Amino acid sequence: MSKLWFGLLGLGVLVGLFTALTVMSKGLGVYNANDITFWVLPMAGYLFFALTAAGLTFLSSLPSVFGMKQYYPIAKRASLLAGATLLVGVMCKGLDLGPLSTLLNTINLALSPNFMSPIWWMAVLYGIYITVVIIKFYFIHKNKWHSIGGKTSGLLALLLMFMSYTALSIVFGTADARPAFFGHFTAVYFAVTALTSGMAVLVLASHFHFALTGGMPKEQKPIFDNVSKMFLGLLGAALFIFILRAVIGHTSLQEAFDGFRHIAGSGIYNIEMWLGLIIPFVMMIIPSVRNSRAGIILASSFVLVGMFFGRLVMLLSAQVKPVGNLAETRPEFVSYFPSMHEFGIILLALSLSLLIYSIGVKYLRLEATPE
Amino acid sequence: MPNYAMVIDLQLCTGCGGCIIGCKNENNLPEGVRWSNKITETLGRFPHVRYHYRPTLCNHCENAPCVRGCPTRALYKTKDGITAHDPDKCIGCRYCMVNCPYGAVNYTWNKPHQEWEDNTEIIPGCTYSPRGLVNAVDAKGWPIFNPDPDVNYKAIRPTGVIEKCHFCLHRVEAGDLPYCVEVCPSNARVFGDLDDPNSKVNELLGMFRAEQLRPELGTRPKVFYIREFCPCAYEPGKGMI
Ligand code: SF4
Ligand code: SF4
Repeated sequence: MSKLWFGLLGLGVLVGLFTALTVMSKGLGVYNANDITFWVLPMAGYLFFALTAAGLTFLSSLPSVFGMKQYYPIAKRASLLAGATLLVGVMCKGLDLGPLSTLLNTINLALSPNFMSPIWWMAVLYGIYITVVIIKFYFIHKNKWHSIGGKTSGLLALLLMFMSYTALSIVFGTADARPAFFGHFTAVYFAVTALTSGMAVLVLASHFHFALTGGMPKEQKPIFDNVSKMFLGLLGAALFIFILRAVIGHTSLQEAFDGFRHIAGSGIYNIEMWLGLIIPFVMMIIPSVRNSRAGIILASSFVLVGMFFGRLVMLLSAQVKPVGNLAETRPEFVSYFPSMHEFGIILLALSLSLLIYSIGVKYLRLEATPE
Repeated sequence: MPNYAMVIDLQLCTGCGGCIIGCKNENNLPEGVRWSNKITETLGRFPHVRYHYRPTLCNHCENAPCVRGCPTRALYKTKDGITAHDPDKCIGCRYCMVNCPYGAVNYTWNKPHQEWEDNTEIIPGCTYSPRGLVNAVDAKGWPIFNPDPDVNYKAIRPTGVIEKCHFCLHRVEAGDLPYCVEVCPSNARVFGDLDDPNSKVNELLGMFRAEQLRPELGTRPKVFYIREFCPCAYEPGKGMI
């Protein structure tokens, strides 16, 4: 990998760190958020990366937990990517809380826990999950796939992925005051899209790696043929769930869904639909595109961009229509465009995750399988 | 233990907004933040048009979703049934803003009252700068700083946490009425114990058909609205096309 690439990533991290420090000193006033649209781009970043990590954790468990041994060659890469995306996802959430004084208050998660709160469970489970994912990667890297530690951490990572993903779904599912989060249907939407974005990251990262290192090893060709078909299947499932969600949102008589219907006419919704789902789905149906490196790189990139916008769509749908007395003196729907600092946080997350992966590619032999 | 609630008599309420201003002063609310608020509606078609005014505040719900969802118990129910907040425990997650169906929670995005830190004198050498005025009256944050809420809340909440109405807990615990009740010039607000059968609150709830906001959500709001200001009359008849 070129020095230029690492230089660019370093620059991205530096700019992002500057943004993060500004947020930590000044607070969230540097975001274009307010009491109406209060969960914005950094929160979308959290959802995107954390759910992608869930998908990647699942994929990395295919050989070790589900016994699908043919997928060993993708397991280590998926495991590192899961750790990297999870780390930056949690970082995005941290930078969505407030200045340093607020961050210090998180000690109260331990000192004053509320077991009835899905946010509490989410915070705690993600904290443990991230630790276990790192331990799991350590065992894989030390080629101790089948040691007790390796097996236990693999199983625990999968279990914690399910638990934290469930807590995250319940955070939105139990928000009765905001039906446009789609209640418990969110759990299904998250599950399918998490797997799809996880798969997209894995496919993109692998093919990039192969492109840089002079091509895919012959023995991995059948694996990636299967992976491409799985990707196509997941895209189909995600498209189906997307349509189902649109039907629910458009036909509901509840006024709260006006927010969704408003967003459904926006550019970001169309990006999610076209770039994130329909175009890549059509591309992946065509065998010549599916089997070409450029085609699959393009399709998976489209999916990731679309899915990212999809997270923002989901958040804004339940927020753009002011609730209760906050609607006073405000238009029926408020508008939102991210601030430079919000972009800075996403830049930090993206650069950091890519940096971790690039270091992995360079030094950690990500194609390694159990000996 | 009392179970505090409020009845707002819409026939007495003139829509003057005194409660909103009073609350801002009493609780040192930063610009843009309102714990005491209003919902207005203009109904009908010209020339038959009517303007409705409904004062609002935190409903101190018995089944408060904001309290249930708060991860660190920063939002809690006091022994008197008031939904209170501890900024030292608040992690700024804003899940309470998701969960409150009434828009009763505000997040402190910027340093509160930062506009009072400006050193510019409007007429140099003649008027105070905002900061100069705050210093001259020996106040904190803004010139009309009220230290009273410090007793059991933070008089000015720090940046990065939420803030909300607490029924003026500092006053209620001292045996006084919430300030919005105190300042209401037409005595439209009645505050009292829902568990005391002889309280004024219960007297009114027994007398009039009370309305709560969005009761279908199961939050069991403890702010009740009775009556309506309506001097209108019409000639009754059968059907009338
Ligand atoms: S009105 Fe909102 S903030 Fe107040 S108790 Fe009910 S849910 Fe909580
Ligand atoms: S913002 Fe503070 S009060 Fe609200 S739910 Fe989070 S921790 Fe609780």
